[in-house]
Amino acid sequence: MRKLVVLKSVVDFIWIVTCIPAIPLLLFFTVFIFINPDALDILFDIDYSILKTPIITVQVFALLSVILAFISIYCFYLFRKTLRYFQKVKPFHDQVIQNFYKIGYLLSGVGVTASVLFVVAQLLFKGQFKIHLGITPSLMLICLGLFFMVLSEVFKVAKNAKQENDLTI
Amino acid sequence: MSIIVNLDIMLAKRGMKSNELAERVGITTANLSILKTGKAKAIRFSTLEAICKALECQPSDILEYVED
Repeated sequence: MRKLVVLKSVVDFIWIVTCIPAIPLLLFFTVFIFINPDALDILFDIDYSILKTPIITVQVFALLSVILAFISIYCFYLFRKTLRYFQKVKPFHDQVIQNFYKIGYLLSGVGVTASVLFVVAQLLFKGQFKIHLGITPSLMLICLGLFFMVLSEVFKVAKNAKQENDLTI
Repeated sequence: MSIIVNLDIMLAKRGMKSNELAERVGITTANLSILKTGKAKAIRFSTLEAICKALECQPSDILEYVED
């Protein structure tokens, strides 16, 4: 259980230091990209000489990236919430199973969307068609998401086994 | 479930209280209540043996199959 305490501390640290400040910063960035489009250079390495699409397209892409970042933060929040159930020694609570499924579903979605966004952005803003076949962060996110979904199924089976064991007299 | 536990009937026939049976069998009254109300998913042979011994009866006196 000491490992759980360490994990919860690390997750809390990341939540306080990274996620909480990221929320207002991302909100500010969302508004700022529409006021000053130069800020888009932070997200995309745009070659303006070949950029044929209007700047609003880049802004929409940036907005989608921000939405993905928010979803990732929400996933982290759910994970933090799930750890609280582990601390209360309720690992087979319905909420844990639901949270794991939700995290998995969202992370896989973020991974797939980020991959598609990356390919389309490269095509539109740099005039290159690039697909990474190696280990990319998006691919890792998809794997992590699927792992969480499998974990949710495993917890469901474990919950039923525990229930059956508890009701065996 | 189509398996009915007739523990109440046997207890009444023997004039025994639930607490006493639970104590003799070595299970908690909460678990005995689960058994009596039919919420139990399974029963161990050792528990069944202990109940039969305490109530001086056969397993068929306690368990009954009724078609749904």
